[in-house]
Amino acid sequence: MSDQGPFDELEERLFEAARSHPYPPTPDITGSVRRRLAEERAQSKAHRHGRQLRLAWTAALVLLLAGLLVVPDVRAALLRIFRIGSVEIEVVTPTPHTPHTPTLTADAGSLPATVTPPAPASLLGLVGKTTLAEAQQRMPFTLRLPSYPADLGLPDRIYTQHLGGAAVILVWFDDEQPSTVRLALHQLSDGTFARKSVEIRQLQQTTVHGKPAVWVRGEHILEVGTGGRFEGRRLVSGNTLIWTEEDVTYRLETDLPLEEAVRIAESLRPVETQR
Amino acid sequence: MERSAEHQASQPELIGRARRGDEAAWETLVREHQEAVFRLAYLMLGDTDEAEDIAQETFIRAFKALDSFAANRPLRPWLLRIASNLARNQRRSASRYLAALRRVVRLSPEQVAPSVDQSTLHSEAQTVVAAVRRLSPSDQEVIYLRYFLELPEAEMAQALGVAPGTIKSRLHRALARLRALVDIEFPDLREGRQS
Repeated sequence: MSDQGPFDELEERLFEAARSHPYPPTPDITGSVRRRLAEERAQSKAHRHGRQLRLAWTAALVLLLAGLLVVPDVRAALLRIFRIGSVEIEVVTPTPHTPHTPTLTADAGSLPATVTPPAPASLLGLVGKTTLAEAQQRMPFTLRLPSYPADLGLPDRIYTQHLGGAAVILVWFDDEQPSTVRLALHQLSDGTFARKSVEIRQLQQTTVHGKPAVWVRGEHILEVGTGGRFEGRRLVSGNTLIWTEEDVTYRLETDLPLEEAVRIAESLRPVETQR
Repeated sequence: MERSAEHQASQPELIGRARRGDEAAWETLVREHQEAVFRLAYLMLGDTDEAEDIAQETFIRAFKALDSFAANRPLRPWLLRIASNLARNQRRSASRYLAALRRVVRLSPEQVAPSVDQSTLHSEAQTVVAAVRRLSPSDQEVIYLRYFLELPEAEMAQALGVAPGTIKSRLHRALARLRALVDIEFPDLREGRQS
């Protein structure tokens, strides 16, 4: 194959190579395509129905809980579990000794630690570190980023994980104290399973874009798992706003007050990545 | 009888029916194009299972996006474009990268070198393929579409999402790089050709 050789010769050899290339037999995928389409249709129908029910149920329960707050005896004895999107909230009776310092209790590698400073070393070792573009490719939904506060910019760390469903965790560090987490935003697809154990006094009903959302103030236990089994458990010491939009559940961990958290939540915009 | 009627229907007619939810019409189109889609994915990924997954995903996504497709346009380039995007993403995914590292020898030129009982033509063809696999993904893609799937340039342009005039220059550059690669890394192929 000389340098001056005509391209025709090389092209002819490519055609020859292609004709004698040993492809594996082409599988007949019509059956699998038919099954997938049927499954997705059924899932979509069930999901739409389930989501409507969940939202209604969540709204009713939050109202019920808010009402029960005014009855001290009931409040003390209350034990309820309800869900918002992929997050299950277990309302527990107050514990006599609440720790003041955030500590990781188990499986430090499965989730980034709490929002409040300083960012623990476990965050740096968190599995699934990736780029925004890669994360978008892996997620079955469009990633969204806050456009507020204006100086927030792109997340400093991005992690993707499988917690029963696909999950992405976006972390922003404090510019002035880079070892401190300013904000953490979890975006969880359907199938992800997380549970928070909170005291009822920590719960507050709110809305994001007019839809029911839950605000959890202060320290609480967060557990995550796959297939219904909890695999990781940690103490969150910041406040958390939980809401759902479309098929995605959002958890925003921050030290900011509720009004600011809602403003951030309502500022989410689709990520523009190079594809 | 039904199947024969499906085969006689034109592509725009089948697409129109598929849009209205007629899955049998879509299956006819899947059957017609699955080989090209599977082969492109196989060429790009070198793995039968992954190629089958990509082919399946291609037809699922295309079915869902049928409303945005003009039924009078050729379907094959559009399907190949979806397949090629999926395969490219798959190739970049971290899990695949790690899996590929574990079985890297399967994709190396040495592994596709001819065995003793293969004909000279066959072994030479495999070495040509091995050389193509050493090119950049975009060069590979243009070569696979033109020489392996034998797409005309107009369909290549649609499959790659570029202007028709760009195809000639992309092919030219890809072939030039392939020629240089053969000269340096596959001298046996060059000598075999000259003898």
